Amino acid sequence: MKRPPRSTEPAAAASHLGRRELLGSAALAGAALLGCRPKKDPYRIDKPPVPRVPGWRTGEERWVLSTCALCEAACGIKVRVVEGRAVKIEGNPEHPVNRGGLCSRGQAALQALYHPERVRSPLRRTGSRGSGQWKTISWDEAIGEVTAKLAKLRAAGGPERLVLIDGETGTLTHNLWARFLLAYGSPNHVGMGSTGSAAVELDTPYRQGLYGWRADDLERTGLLLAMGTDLLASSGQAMHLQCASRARRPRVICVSPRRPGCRVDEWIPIAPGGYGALALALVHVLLRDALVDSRGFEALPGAGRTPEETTQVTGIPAETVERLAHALAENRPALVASDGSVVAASNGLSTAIAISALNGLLGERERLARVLGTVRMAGWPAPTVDALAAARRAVPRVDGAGTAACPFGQSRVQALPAAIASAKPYPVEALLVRGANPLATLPGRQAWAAALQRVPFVVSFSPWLDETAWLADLVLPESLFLEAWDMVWPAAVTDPPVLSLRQPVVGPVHGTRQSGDLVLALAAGLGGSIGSALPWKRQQDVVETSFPPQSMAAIKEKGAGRSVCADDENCKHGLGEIVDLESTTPHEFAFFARRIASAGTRDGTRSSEAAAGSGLPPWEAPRFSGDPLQFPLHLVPYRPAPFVADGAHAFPWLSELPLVSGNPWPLRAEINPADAARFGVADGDEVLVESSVGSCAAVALVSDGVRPGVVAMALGKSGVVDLVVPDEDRLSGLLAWQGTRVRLRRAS
Amino acid sequence: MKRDDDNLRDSRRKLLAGLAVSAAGVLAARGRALAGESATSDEPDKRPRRWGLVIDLDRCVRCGGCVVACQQENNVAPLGPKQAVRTRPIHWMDFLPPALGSSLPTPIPCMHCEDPPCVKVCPVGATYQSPEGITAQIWERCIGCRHCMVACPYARRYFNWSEPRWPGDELSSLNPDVAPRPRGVVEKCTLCHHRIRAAVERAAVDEEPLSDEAVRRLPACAQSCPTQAISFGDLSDPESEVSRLARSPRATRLLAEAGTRPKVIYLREDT
Amino acid sequence: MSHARRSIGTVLVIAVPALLIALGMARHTPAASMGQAMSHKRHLAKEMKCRACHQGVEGQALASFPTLADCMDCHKMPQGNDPAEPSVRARAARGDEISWGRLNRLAGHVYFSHAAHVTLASMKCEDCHQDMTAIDQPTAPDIRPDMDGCVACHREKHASVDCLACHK
Repeated sequence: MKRPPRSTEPAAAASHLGRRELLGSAALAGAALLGCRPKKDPYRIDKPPVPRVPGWRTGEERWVLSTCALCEAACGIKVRVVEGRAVKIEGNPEHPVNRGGLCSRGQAALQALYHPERVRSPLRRTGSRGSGQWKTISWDEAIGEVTAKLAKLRAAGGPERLVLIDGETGTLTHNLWARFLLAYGSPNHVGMGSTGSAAVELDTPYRQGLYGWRADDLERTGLLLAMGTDLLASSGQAMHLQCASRARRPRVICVSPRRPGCRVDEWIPIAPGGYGALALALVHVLLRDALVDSRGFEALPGAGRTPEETTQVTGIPAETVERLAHALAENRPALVASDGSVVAASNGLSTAIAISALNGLLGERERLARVLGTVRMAGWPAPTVDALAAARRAVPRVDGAGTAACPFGQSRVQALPAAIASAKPYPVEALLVRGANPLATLPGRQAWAAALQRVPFVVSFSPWLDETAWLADLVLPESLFLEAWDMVWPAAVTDPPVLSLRQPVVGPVHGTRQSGDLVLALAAGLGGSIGSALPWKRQQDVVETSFPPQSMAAIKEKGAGRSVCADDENCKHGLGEIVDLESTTPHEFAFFARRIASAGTRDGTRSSEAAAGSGLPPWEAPRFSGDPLQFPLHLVPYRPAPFVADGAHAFPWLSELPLVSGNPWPLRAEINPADAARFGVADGDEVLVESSVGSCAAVALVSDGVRPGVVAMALGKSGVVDLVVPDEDRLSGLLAWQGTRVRLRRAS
Repeated sequence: MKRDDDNLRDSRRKLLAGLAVSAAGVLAARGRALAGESATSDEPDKRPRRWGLVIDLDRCVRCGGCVVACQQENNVAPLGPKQAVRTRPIHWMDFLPPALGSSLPTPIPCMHCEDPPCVKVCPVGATYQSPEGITAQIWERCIGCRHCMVACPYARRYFNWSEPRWPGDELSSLNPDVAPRPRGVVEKCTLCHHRIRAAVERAAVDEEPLSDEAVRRLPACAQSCPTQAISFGDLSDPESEVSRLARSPRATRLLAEAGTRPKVIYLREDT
Repeated sequence: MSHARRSIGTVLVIAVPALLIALGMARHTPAASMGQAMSHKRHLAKEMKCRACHQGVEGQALASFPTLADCMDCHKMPQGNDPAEPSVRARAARGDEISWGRLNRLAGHVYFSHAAHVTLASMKCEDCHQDMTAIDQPTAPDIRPDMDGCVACHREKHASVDCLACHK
């Protein structure tokens, strides 16, 4: 049939199919059919491939024991690994610290492990500092560059000009770095002065002359006086306190400016910085009413302070103090436990002394408290220290800790920016930063940024491009704790104390390396006495050979190993030394005075305190920064339950926790209703909190769980740190976190 | 011509509508029928279990560990600050305002009611009560009408307003035993039935009875709790821990007057 | 339109969509590559049991595949005369673990436990899987992926038809 010639009229419908129409409909049909193909299964999980690890069967799963690193408690964990990928973290039921429980942080750790923002390989800065221009380099190049710089510094005779800021404590890796600095010749191993462990750290050295963690037997405690908001929620002790209370919860009285988010029997609001005064008043009542055996405590400075005298500082009525003292005496053994916020004041050390004294009076002997002394790394050779290192190790530290400026301090990180800026006592030529992000987690951001710019060579080991790493020359990303070997001494002390194993649950997700491997590589690259001081090839070798084989076998099986004391049949292979407080002399404060008397001699000067007779520093009221008229409220920064010291962005679940004490989005300024009325602020209003050095936007939360005169704000998110004035306790060098005054107003 | 076309169209519409309704009905009926059929013949001598939870408000320290444990175990994606402000983040185990005489927030999972209102309103049988008392949600059936969310007096159901995002390698950490849910589906606490199923199976393979001790900390929330405030078990077994705790003078239930007969029992704070 | 053009047109109407369908489906056929040359026919001819290699069937949900170490239990000595056989030892020497291809994939929301079926229900492999005695390498799934077959057998054997028994 002849088809009519093509015309300009529209083609008739249906019966005639032109070629164009044919192809068009074929294309349409094809597209429609393509669209009808089976959709991707929305319920299927297609995981990215992992580097093949020999021996994994399809679908096979294993549980690997390790130790969490998200706070100093060091809870034991078991991680479920399916086909080479970690899919669940749970508490290890056999671990004495947490006995199977695990807080929100540990549970969320997998978010950090697989986070898209992890730095995957070493980076070298190509633009100017802070420009964010990076080039990926190989590990050999990265380590080679660091080694070359450090070798040059040493050859020029100035190894002390290397500063390591190290946010980690209580691990074997920390000890490796300490040994590296020893052999290299620098005294500048600067800790971050963790708010969590600080209080514990201050206790035993000054009472027992030992460095180590106390072990308190909670199950035998009749009454726990918990000082500080964070103790029960997020301190290194929190998990252990909670787990230990399963069988029998002691009566708990919490003293803090902000009501803790967890269950306590009584909350006594206290003014910031008033803990020492409260402790002294309690000591006074206990001694006055002869409620306790008081031998040796009369010499305690400030023991004469009555409750009435201290009310001004504490804000606690005298009758409450009397009642509390009697409650403590009647519920023996009683324990006074505190978190870092308690000593985070300008009178931190004397506060710690007063609380120690109180504990001593309250039946330490009955409470069977022990101390884990030095952890013996039996497998380590003696360190080799050459003449240069020996000489330069003796010079004063750059942060002034141990000098007249800070006689009893271990570390004084907040002093670094000024020291770097002034180049006193000597300029800092190289700065290494690991496990820390000072720019974002310490006050004085501008000063830190300026200081970093002044240091010629800055290396960050951060797994993230955090604020500090942003200004570095090289980023050598460390593996996360789930990918690393280590041995940890938990801050959450158990009785008897234990050491806890950390081992990789998966291979490194990216091209990162364990911190221990990095320091060993640097030592090998530098060679000489440094190389022989750290003769191992891998971090794993260090961990596996540091302790006797029997102990290692026991540790691997349980995930935690016991440190044993002299009487234990396993003790010949003891991992550490345990000191029973029972066995010390009854007048503990003799130790105290000796320790303080002998301190402060590093640079040849003796502290005026030590020279002043009893050797105990006088007690003084806390100091606050900011004019009280302009800044009528006290800022109380606290650690919320899911507090992560550094890298909160890597754990989004924690920011979405449906608990105010979990510090969910957005940041809140918690104030008492009386203050809210005074400043015309309603619950939910956007407010501006200002101090003499900075300001911060927040949302008001009006609650009677906050003492009048106080603004409580959670740490961990950006903002709060900018408000804090970096005042410190001159004796211990600890930052006075709770020493800042602020004002608050509605943001219009 | 037009009238005929209209008639044809109308009757076609009616037919389609009728088919749709009966299809939905058939689906729902089938779903309920399947669901209603009794449990496995593997254990003919066992009475049917009634799984329940006991939450001790005195022990609970409100740490939030259970919330995150549940999210990790069940592949619940975080939503970010913008959605968080709109209260859309999904917390199968949540903390609601203080109740039952406490001044602290209330940890609250799905109540797994004996008489669940949500099951009655589901048009497609996506939610039903399992033979062992779990109020279950079958993700694939859910059409996202959210009637169940309205019906639940405890507000324990969550809707996926957006497609869950697992950026970077986060997919790697998903639990292979739980299907992640796409946009448009309602989800809620399942009492970690996948863990229950695995435990029952393991016990059967090992030829051992499933003891109460073995299940007391079975769901992720119970397992993670530092103070062991959450206990899980068989309420129809009078010797189980949960039954024992349910007989405590401190035992109570939320919204008892609503008639839902929740199987999550709270123990009031000890004052 | 000429007769020839109409024919071409007809062919195109059929062929183009068919091609597109084929392409679409091809994307969804699992890769037939097994990762390592291995003949079921030969292994079964040696009277080996399925579970000698698929060891997970008795205790696990997923039947597993053998690891290189499992293969080397026998293949550390030369076995048979297949030219591909020495490649097993070569792989072991280089530590190159075998990446088996999975053919049977149930939908993401389905839980299937081999342990429940093999150990608890005492089923045999051939009750569900094809007879492998004549097959070298399978190239296609042999399990029906939809629910009807499963439910029919469950009903017949009085096994659980509770949704939660199989849904994740």
